Amino acid sequence: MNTRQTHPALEQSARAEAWRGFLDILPLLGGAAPFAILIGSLAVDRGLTPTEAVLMSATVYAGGAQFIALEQWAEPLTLATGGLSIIAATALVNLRHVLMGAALAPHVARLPRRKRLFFVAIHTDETWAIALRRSAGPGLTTPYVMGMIIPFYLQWWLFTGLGAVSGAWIGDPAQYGFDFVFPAAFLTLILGFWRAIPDALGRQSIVIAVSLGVALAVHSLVEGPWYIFSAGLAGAATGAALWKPESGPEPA
Amino acid sequence: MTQDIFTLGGVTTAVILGMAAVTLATRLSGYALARRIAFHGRLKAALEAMPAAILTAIVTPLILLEGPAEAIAGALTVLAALRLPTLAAIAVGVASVVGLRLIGL
Repeated sequence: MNTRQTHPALEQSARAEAWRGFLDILPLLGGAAPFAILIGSLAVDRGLTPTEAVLMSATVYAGGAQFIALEQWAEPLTLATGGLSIIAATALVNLRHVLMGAALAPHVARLPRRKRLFFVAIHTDETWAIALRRSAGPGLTTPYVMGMIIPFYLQWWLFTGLGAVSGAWIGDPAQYGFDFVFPAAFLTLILGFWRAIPDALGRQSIVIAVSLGVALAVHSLVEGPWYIFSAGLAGAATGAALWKPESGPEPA
Repeated sequence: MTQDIFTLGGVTTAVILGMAAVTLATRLSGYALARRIAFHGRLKAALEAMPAAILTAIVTPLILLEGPAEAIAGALTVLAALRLPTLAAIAVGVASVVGLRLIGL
């Protein structure tokens, strides 16, 4: 994945890489757009102006947190009557990004600094997962990452704006199965991770099984999004526990 | 209503920017911490196990705790993904969840 090659080849491969990144995120983009429209119309419903709705999608840029915030949105909103608790809920829902950012770090280490930080600063479940899949295969390049994250970012606030100004309710995204694009895509990604690491001892399978069990248990016992954080840590602990000194080459 | 389109309320903007700030903090903090740590051996194995664990955790309640339609469609998606390209597997999942919901599952 050396991107410092002769100029014409570099340009051509950069364009191809950006296009590849765009195509890889496209299904998830198609699944997310109806939810951005829904968030836009929900925001206006809750008394936000379209500009405020778009500002939220462009700066917060986190669907799950935005839904929960808008559900709690009261009018008139003050910091004491809901504002601070909305911010706290946002932090909690997005706590998983602490682990996701850590997991992403070694995979983006070779990208140029600014673009690397840009990606980390706006990574979503979708772009994070697609980047990791690419990294496990042909490797991550800057144009690939940009071709993936910029369209995904732009669609989110553009479709939020559309939902906010049209006011036209496109209906429940679940009616057309849009809500299932994300889980279905993530299932194929898990399968990809499971296949990508040839592991006679089945470590990856054990990690996935432990995470599944912990997620189910914590989800049923603890209110809120703690199940993702707990299962992520449990998976990491499992990976550490299964590690053996001879289990692979060790780059210093 | 149209004059309201471009209005930015003070408290609303403050709450939105507060949400943005805490979200940015979650996205950058784990990354910044991981950059400072040299991952070897057991610690490296822990970090490498996280992606699959987090993916699994995110998707588990969406597939298993939503209802029979999602669970069955999830199983069909996995079966399809074993044979078909990703996009086709996603299409199978979405089509089957729509169909299963239509028949009332």
